Amino acid sequence: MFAHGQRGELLPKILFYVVLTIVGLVFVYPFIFMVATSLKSSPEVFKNILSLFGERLRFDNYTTVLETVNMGRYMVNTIIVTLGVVAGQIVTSLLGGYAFARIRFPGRDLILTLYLGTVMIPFTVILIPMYKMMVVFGWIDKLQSLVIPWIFTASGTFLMRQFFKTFPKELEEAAYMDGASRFTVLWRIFVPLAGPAIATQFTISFLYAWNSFIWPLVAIQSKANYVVTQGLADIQGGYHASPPLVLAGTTLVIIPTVLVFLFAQKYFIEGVATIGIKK
Amino acid sequence: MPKSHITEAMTKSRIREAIEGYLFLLPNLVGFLIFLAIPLAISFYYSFTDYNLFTTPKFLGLANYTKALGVSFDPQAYQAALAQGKSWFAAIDAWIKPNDPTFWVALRNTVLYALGVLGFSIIPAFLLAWLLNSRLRGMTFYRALIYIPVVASVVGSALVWGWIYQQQSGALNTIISGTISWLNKLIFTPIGHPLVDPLIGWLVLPKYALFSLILMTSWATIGYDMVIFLAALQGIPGHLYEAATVDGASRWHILFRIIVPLMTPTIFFIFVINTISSLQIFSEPYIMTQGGPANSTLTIVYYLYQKGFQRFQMGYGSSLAWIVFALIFIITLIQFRLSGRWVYEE
Repeated sequence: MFAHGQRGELLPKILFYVVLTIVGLVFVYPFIFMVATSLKSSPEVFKNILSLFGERLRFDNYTTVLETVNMGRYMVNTIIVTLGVVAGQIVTSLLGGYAFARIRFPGRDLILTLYLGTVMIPFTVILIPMYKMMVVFGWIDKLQSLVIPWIFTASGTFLMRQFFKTFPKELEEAAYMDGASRFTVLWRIFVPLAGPAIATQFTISFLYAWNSFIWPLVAIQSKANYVVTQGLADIQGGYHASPPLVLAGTTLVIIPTVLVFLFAQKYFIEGVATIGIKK
Repeated sequence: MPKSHITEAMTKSRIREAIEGYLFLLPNLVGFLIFLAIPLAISFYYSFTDYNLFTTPKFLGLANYTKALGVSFDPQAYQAALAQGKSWFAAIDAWIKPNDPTFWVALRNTVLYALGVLGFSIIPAFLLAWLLNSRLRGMTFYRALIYIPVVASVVGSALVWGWIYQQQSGALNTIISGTISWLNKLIFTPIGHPLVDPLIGWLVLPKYALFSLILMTSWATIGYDMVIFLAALQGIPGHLYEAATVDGASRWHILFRIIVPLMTPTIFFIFVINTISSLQIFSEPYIMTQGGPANSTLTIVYYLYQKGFQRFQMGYGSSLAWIVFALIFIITLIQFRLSGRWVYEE
């Protein structure tokens, strides 16, 4: 539609924008509903669930959720886990991507193929033995169970490899002449130039860690160590009758991902378009 | 330097390089060995055992798999059903006795879920990508709006949709009621046939619950599919459009004769990736319906979770996991095979 800068007439153009705006509203309506409800009181919600505003904006719903329901604690846990997973995935994929792109060693292509093949394996298959492994390691109910097993990423490694492949050979040759080690070359020359790839990997890792649910559900048991998704499932059970509180908690969980998305949109889209990894 | 020394030096540097290569790869290799390869092997072993996590696994052979997949036949029930005047279909149903009927319910729900999400997401996503592939202003903005559900936590979205779908005072039923009473006031009451507000139990009636989840998951999938379609559309060289336009082809002709054929690899990719993720759906039914009502939204992974982590049947749970894996593998393989027939390649 309107693909080649043709001068469409005014009416089709208006129609086009009207259609897109309606579609866009349908997609964001649940979030508008979420924020609106989170700022009302319970009776106001049941009186008219569609109204955007209650009598006043009740920000105290948020303090209640953060303090009484302990969402604050869950947020801190989630931030720790997310930072760990994001940093870990970026480091391992930089190292692996560099090895696959620049170093010659026997079996390289075979290892890369096998490695990429692991993307096909559904997480469900290793859920039970991973749980057992955490029991053996003594990591059950500890945050490291949510970080250390998940800092390795085949798709991230592949992403970095593809990016490094585009760098010209001359880039590092001078450095090697001066006797620089491979690690120095990676750290001083490749990493500073890999900004876009790192940003793309950041968005993928961030979403993956922040939104994960089934694994924390089995690996974390005590409330003090819950992550936000578990916290939400918990509020839902305990405060079922109070949609404002449940949705205030939900807003706190969803807004960070939406903000990161809006600021780094380009990299999200790039990540999806280049490696097509879902969530 | 004699020639042999040069080659020796080269071999040395080659070996050094290889060692460095493995060293850089070491974190990844160790990580995947410990947290993927070993668990995979253990899971495969568990799937042939009776295991409750606390005692040692007891080897059962194929028993878990025959429990899940096996059926027995009851000819008497078949005859009885026919004698009672039931339909032939109901008689067949009585004749086949699955060893684990709940597994088949979960399998059916999971397959319907996957098909539903494919059906409700691919075509809208394609159309939206086609609309957004324009040079008019604001396309990035609309793309962002449609993509937001993809980045939102599934657990969070499920809670929000729980209040949209709520029967008595949820947003969706309130909108439907409002529309109906408005239409009644305007048209139907004056003509004497007022419409009745259906007050649909989106999540509480077995016949609607799975559909409701499908709708929600599609909402969270369309943006993702759309972005992939959009990337593919932008990769179509402009001269193809220009040539077609010069030849006087209509917009629809361009869409169906040029764009769609060129997009078949992408459509195929989306088919595969959506099937893989839909077959593993867990969080949505866990949060919204707990697999109910009457197991109508029980998916295989949810059933696995119940068996493994609520009843500690880790052996049986593992065999369910391998069945999911096999299912994904087979469906992906079939899609690859079929793709040869319709995917356009240059």
